Amino acid sequence: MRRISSPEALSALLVLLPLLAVPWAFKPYTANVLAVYMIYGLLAMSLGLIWGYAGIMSFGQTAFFGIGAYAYGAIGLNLIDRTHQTHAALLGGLAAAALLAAVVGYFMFYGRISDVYASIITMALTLVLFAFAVSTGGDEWVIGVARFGGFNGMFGQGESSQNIANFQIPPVTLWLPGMAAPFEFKINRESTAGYFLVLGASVVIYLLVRFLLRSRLGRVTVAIRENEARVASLGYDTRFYKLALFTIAGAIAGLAGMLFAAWGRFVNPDRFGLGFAASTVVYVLLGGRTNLLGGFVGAAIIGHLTSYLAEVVPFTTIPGDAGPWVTFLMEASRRIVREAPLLVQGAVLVGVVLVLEDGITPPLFRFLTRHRRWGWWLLLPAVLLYFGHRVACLQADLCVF
Amino acid sequence: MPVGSLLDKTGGINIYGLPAIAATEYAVAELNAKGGLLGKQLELIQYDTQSDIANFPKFAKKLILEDQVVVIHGGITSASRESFRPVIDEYKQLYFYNIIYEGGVCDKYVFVTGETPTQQMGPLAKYALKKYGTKAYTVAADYNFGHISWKWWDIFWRNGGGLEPVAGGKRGQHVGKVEFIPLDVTDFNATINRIQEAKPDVLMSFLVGGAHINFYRQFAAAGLKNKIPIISTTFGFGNEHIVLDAKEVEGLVACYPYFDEVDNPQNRAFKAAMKKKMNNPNYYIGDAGAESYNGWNFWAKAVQKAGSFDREPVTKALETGIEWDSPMGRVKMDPASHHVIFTMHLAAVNNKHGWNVIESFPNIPPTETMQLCDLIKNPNQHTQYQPK
Amino acid sequence: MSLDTAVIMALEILNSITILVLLALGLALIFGMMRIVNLAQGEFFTAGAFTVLTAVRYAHLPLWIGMLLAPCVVAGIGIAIEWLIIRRLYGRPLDVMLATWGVSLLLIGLITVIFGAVTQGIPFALGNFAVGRYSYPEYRIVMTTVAAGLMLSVYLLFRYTGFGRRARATIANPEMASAAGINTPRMFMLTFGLGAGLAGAAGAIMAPIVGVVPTMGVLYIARAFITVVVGGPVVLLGTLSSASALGFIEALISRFPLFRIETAGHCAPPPCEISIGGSAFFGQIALLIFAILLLRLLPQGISGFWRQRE
Repeated sequence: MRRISSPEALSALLVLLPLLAVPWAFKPYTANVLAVYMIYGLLAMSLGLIWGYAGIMSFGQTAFFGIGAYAYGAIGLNLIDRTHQTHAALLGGLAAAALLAAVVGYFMFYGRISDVYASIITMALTLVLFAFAVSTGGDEWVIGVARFGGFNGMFGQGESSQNIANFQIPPVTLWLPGMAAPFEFKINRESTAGYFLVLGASVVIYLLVRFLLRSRLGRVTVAIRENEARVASLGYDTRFYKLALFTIAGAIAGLAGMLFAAWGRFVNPDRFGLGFAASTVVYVLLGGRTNLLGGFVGAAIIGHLTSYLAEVVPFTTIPGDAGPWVTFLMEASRRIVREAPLLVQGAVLVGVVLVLEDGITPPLFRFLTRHRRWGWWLLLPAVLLYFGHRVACLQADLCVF
Repeated sequence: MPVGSLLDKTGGINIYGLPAIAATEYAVAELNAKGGLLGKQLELIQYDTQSDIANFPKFAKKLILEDQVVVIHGGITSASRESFRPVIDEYKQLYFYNIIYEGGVCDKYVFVTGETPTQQMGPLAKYALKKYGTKAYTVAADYNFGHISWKWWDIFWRNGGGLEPVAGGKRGQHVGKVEFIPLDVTDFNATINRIQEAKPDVLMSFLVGGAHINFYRQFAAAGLKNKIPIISTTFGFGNEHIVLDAKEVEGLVACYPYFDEVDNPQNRAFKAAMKKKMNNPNYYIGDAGAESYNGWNFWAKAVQKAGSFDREPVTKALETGIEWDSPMGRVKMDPASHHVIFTMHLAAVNNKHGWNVIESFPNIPPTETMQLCDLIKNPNQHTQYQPK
Repeated sequence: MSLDTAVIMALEILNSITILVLLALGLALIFGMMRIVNLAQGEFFTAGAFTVLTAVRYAHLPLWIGMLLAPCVVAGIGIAIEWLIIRRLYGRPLDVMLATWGVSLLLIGLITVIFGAVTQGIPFALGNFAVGRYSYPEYRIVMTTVAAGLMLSVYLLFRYTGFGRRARATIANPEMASAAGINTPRMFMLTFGLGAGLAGAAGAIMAPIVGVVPTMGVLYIARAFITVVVGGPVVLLGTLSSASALGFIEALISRFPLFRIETAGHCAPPPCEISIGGSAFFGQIALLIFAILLLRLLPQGISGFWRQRE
């Protein structure tokens, strides 16, 4: 294992320290939102892994995300009252996602389907799962007490035959031997344990994947991306390596899905939708698919942007006596802002492909590498100072916002 | 005093969201123009949930934790409402849901000013049995609203227009098998052929959304518009009668608590004010808009009665059974079920992209929900029921 | 089953096939022949429909003029996109996919900005004819005729005209074609435009039946791709055989339930059962699954398989 280089350590600190300080530096809502950005970032990372490192563009990562979420929900809802913990649900969700990924991967790679067709097959998978999930609104779609709920999403069914929404998917609840009582990971006014769960999971998975990429599996897969024929001629079974990486990426997506279900206490068919799959691709493209952190950066930027646009609700009435040009311009700009999320996503896709080929993070890293002295002596202390100030003012209830 | 609204300004659901937003803004502005509530001006904080269900819990938490609003109005599809009702329950937030839906919500913190299926189905069933015949074929949108609507309709039609068999009335029967159609299907060829096979006297439609508008068009194209009359609890809510031509849907009968064509002094004033606000003399308010306006005013009257913005006194005030004359006609909040007793109107689509009101029925209660939900006797409920 | 029901079913199958042919024809040219994964194809379809809408509702032109305008307008849009974006990305198939996806989002956003997100209708004045005790809309027969006409035109164009020969040469071997004096960039541009125009025509012809909304393309693009991929590299034969197979399956499964499964749950009357088949939803699922299976067996698509065997 080679030494951790200075720019990497710097970026890690620049990112991790603020993230660790967030629950004390901002109101709980911020921790809430950052948690979901990290979850999307994990999902994007799984796509970055399979795409950037293995060269297979999979539209289906969101399929595994959704399967992980639904499986966790179904198992968790059924067992939580009896066992008061979600261990089985966590394992079950992971297994379900990994299993589906393995099956689909086997089908694609051992069937010698070309990369482009493989992408289309993963798109079809997502579509099938979406169409299935939205059709499960009726009473008959239940697993034990877990009701699929179609568009409404998954809830636990109450005792009475008429309760269709009685309790939600449980948060991650651990009850290890030695603990007096089960511990729930939630994010609310009292506790931000849920936030640290997501943060911890993201860090652990990131490190694991980096380790994996340096291992034999990782290096062979990257070689396959470069030139599959040559790797095969060297005697490696390329199909197996592709399958293994695809399954691992699927499992990571499933883990993200489970965290999502536990975070929102809710999952619904939109997780299988093309819109969500599209967003994931945009996150990776914008952030950069040549490194693992790109997905997190992309998710944070776009997530923040769409949130911001949602909060800007310009519904100013056009004065009745305004000239036709003014009216036209005002109405046009109003409509453009309304559709801005779509336009932004589209522009990002086209722009990145044509111009910023590798996304945002590589230029950022290059900058940090070249100016690392500025980084250590200026940027890091500035960040520490800002967060320290926020923690102080929040404790004293003096913060302006 | 901050108040919150969660509605879809963009995306596919905004056909319901935009009228609701317009009416919300007008309602709050009107209250502020009259001096605010309890001497305080209301600050309306709206978030565009972009027709994405994941945004509802997120922005609900924002309204509650950051903006600290005293009330939230919003949610359009049942899926969106259910996605953040748990957040409402966790933080004990007062919440108003102001849209037509499938009925059954029974939650101490929630008040519903939208109509439920039974309020529409009683008048519709009696009218259809009298005028068209006893055999009905049903098509429904394939999601919770459609499934639950079907369950209630099944009972109502067979009983002749009530939860219990209606005395002295005809009984309906269902022909063919009820069809649940996914929301994104645009080609109804097979469905229309199956309807013809079953030969019903009347077709009941629970279709919802932009894609399903094409059903009516294709139905008319197959020459069935004048052969099989249509009744619906959902048509018109998305302004389908404006999009479609008269020769495609004239004569379709629907039952709502509000049509723009309903005539009373409050509605005339309401329409004039909204047309001025939207700078459009042909602006159509629609049921979604009128219900949002009513929701805000129910809340405002309760705040004034309670003398406080806090949830518990406001809830108590609402549970005394507030009633008033709204643009819809007389409306009353039912104390036990937290739902509204409406004056329902039957109307048929006319040839000018509007409605002709046929008959009005005062005091139609949401019987299905009232049967299952008594929040005064059992206040600690936070769930949604459905028919057995 | 009575005779009129059988005829109606045959018409339903014909309708399914027609729609798939209309959706896939333009893409068969762009993806099947030129190997460009164009995710904006759905929006070409949408643009065609909106052209007709504008012509009829805003310019008050007769319907048939709108229908003729649509392919021309959309071909123009296609040519512009090829020249601005796709041209720079030849040889990078995945990047093309992403860029066209971006174009698709931009087009949807743009159309929504101009026209609003409401579904709009295009009135048409055709009637229906009787099939036994059923009545069937005449317009669907017109759609089938137009689809057949489009396929025939494409065939004649590529087989018997100079342009067609040059286009085929360019796509088969660009370097050779260029050496022989053909303006290859222009050929690519025109062929792409042709594929876009076909999609525009398809959107125009389907608009009166399905209603015009900015997101209408999204619903169709998946099926278009699946039909083309299953069809294989030969444009016309592949599209026709694939559309026939998939359309047949979709119409059949929409009609007939395959089997029922009992589940736990509270239903009235009990027991709860899920019926697999017999609805539009299962028709679509069956199409997708059948396509995946076909691809597994014939990775080169149907026409690729035939070609290999020759």
